[in-house]
Amino acid sequence: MDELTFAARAANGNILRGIVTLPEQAGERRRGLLILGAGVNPRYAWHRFSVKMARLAAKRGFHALRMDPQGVGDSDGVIEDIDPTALEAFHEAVQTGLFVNDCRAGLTQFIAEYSLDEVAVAGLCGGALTGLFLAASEPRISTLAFIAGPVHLSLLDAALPFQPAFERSETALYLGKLSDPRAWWRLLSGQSDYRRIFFLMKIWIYRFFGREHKLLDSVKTIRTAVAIDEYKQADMWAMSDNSRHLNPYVPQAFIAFMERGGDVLFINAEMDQATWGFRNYFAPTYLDGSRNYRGTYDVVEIKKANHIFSSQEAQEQVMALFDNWLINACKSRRCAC
Amino acid sequence: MSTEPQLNEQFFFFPSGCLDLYASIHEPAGMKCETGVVLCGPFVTEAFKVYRILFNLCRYVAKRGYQVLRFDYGGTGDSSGLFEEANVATYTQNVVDAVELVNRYGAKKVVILACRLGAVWSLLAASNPSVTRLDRIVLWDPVLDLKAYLYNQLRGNLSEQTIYYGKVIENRDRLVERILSGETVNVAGYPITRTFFEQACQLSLFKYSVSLKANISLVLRDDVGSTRTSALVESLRSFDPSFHVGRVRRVPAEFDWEISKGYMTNPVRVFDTMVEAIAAE
Repeated sequence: MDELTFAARAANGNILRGIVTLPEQAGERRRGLLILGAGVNPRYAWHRFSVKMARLAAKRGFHALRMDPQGVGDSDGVIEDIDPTALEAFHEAVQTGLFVNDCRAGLTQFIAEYSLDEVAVAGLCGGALTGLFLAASEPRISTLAFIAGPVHLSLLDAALPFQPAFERSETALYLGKLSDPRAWWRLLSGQSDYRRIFFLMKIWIYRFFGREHKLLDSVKTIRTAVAIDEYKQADMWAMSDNSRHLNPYVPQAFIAFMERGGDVLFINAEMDQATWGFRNYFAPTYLDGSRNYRGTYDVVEIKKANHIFSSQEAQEQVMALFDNWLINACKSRRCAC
Repeated sequence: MSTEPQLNEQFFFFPSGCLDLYASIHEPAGMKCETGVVLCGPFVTEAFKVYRILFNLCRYVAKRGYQVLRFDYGGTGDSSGLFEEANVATYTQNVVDAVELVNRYGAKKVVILACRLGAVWSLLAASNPSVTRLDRIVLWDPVLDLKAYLYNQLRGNLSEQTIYYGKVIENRDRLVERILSGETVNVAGYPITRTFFEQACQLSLFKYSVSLKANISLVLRDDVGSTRTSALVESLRSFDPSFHVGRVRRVPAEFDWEISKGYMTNPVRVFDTMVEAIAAE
């Protein structure tokens, strides 16, 4: 396996660094895969997910780049104007396009340096959003793997007693306490976490009546989005398609990519708040079959998987899906590298 | 107004055994450094959380006149190899090869800055006859009991069971049974193998103590209590009989090795203490 270090210049002159895994056998067309890691974590991602994807892609004949945007991993620069103690603010900044320009600079260098004919993008979590935003405006990208990407804004999750995606484990926890006299004593003596209990009951009720997508409508969050210029559209925040908590840049980018004929594979984890948001805020409106997209999409949910697909079974399933996606990626065409 | 020196930096792979380790070297431009520093990072789960802090630390130390080498152990980070194939011997060899790389660069003095579990590999490497020169090991919040550390790491698996099932189905003792029977058990996505766990159980760090070539410094967070500090000092006296509590430096607990409380990347007070520890005679 041959791997080389990679460097590109961001718009402000800072160096963006990464690793390129060279294909074991290059095909007639030179294909590239850009892998974008999760948020503010180093490019190799959770349990070396990006490394495994890169090496699998190399076996399939791709040049695979995993890179760090500015202020992350090995790249130069700092992430400014965000309170370093507030991780949610960082997440929201990524979710509103913080790293798009850096990844575009990396993509441009990648294509030029390796003379690529076509490029696919795979993104994890925040990297999935960056990849989607990039794909929407980049004719050089034809296909995207959107893995565990959150379609709602992280500040929402911070306002909740627990994430609704974990309702099953919360229910199991409280059911387990039914036979515990100490738990009953705490409940009756004002020592329990009532906010948590009432929220759990609220989830049951909303779910029973098929209104789970309305569960959080009354939750207010203060947005502190730090978005790059081209995404600073005040009107976006006024959009209220299906839910006020949906990140409006997501449907905007998705529709643009679909209109261009792009293909998207959504890979979600069952036990993940990102998936809960996807199911309740995004899929019912944009993936309900009512829109005639030029491009195609596929949605797969991995059962008993958490946000980082840490179990052996989940990793194997994701890698199998990813491998299949690679085999079919860039097969048509509509790339304009 | 003082200006910090520019740095020369290289990002590359170097061989260690049959693997290629990803590394970076940072040194002040236009200056021949007398001292080379090798950063031996923590275990994978912690390394992921503190990556940017350690990267910035390397630059910070380099700007103060040192050549600093940072690398990913085989099977971790961006290095080649598989995590499940890494073991005590390979981690130790990686450190030996990193130290020898710095020696080949011509350092007159070589210091290891060992973070957390990096302490184990560093102490083992320091006793290795292949190491031609090593003057000091700075141990930062060291982990010295590998078996206890891995047992503790299994909590990650318990947390995942809670997410899936609402409760713990298999406790840590049961997970250890499974590991020792030949199954792998995942911690944050990394498979803990029988080979590695058995080596951890059998490792007795102190039998290497008599052949240790380097002096030792200790840096601890200021929230580490006196009991733990005394225990560590006592353990380290096996390696260096002159070691005493007066040689312990304290740093503020500005970040956590295991939990991301924010995006802290530049704990400068911590960095200053590291520079002092590296520079100490």
